[in-house]
Amino acid sequence: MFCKCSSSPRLCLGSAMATSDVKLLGAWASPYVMRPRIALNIKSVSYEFLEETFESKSQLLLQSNPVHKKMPVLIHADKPICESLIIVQYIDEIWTNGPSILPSDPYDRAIARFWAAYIDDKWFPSIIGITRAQGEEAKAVATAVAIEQVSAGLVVLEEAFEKCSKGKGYFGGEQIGYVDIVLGSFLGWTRMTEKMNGVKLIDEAKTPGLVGWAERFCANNAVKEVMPETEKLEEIAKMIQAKFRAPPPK
Amino acid sequence: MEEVKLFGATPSPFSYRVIWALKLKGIPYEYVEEDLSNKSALLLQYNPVHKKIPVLVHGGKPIAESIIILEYIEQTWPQNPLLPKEAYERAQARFWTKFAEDKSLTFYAFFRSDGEEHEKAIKDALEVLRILEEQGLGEKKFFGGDTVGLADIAWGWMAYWLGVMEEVVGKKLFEAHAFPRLHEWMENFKKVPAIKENLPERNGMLAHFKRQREILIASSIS
Repeated sequence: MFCKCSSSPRLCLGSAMATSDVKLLGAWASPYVMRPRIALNIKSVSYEFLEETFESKSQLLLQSNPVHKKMPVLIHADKPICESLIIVQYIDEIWTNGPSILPSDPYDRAIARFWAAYIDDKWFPSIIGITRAQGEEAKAVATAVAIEQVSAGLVVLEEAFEKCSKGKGYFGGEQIGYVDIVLGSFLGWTRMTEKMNGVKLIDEAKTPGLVGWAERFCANNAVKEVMPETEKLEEIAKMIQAKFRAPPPK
Repeated sequence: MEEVKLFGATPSPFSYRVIWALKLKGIPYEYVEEDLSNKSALLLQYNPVHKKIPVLVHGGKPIAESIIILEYIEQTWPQNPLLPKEAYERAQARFWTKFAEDKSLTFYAFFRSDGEEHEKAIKDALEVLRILEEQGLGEKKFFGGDTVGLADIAWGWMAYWLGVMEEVVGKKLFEAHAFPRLHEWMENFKKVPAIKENLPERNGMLAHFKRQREILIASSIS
């Protein structure tokens, strides 16, 4: 089997070893799971993808992440690493042969971390806000408020894109970097939210840079295979919504 | 060396995280105390997105968010390292640091609420302490091993601020006999000279937090 592992000969012990040496526990629909998958693709590292189901968590997952019991978990040479961004940083530090994911300059690196934190802690929760608004009494008003929040955040991110990309295609410059992975992993859910609520969030008028960036990101070789289709995400979203609307079990 | 400035506010533990890192590495810096009820134009310029302290300015370039600042300091001034060299151990240090970030809201809930919400916060906080005691520290003196590391600095507020919070709330959350490892860690942490010499004055802190809790409780009733 062709070995895609481009790490040093000392580490790569043949395709079979390389594949079993690196395992990723996750689910195809999760944006957080997508992140290490993109990172491993960037580094051309082959791995075994152990798919978790929605209904129950595997023994391996519970054992590997006893604190949070969440995915993704990277298992490298039998050692578990948890938290999507910690895993991405780990991948970047271990597989130094491939392209760098985080900038090498300390200041640029701090800026990349800043935007990653902003996206995860401030912006993505506002996307969830749109879906949550659908369950509210004053649905129309709540939705409008939620959409405004997301749009405002995207304008901030458009400006960040201009500054970070310095005229190139990605936040990381010529190639996909840390911030691209963080924001890009949410594109599936963003598009699904747009479709299900009949609204355009990343649009030509307010965020033209991000429109081009999103297309480029989704078409990138490291991303293509792991980006979930919007239709499949819609099915899951409907399932989740039904679960929340169902009366609580007695 | 280019000028280092820290914009902070006593007694914010987030401010102190950066002070501790700078002191541990022996980095000279200028400290600017911000009045959070009247933020300076400079602070708003340096952190337009969040408008918060701490902000580190190095050679005129601003960095915001305490843990991000710590990672920047670690990369820029490698002496007295706060992170291990080995990638897997670094991942572990970052994991426990992130755990501190994620769970700060739980302890904040303990501080600012009363009634049912307060009872839930106590339950959640005790669970966090249990996890730290049993899985976080292990047999190590510090999260960083023999010396203070990133995770120790992230959790450092607990060694000093928690006691003040408990006194203001009028409820004991942390019992030494229930969490012996953590208790010993707190004592060791406070003994480190760079930490010991850089802690806010307790009476001032007490008064400040009393005021804060009154305001928070009052606003949650209205």
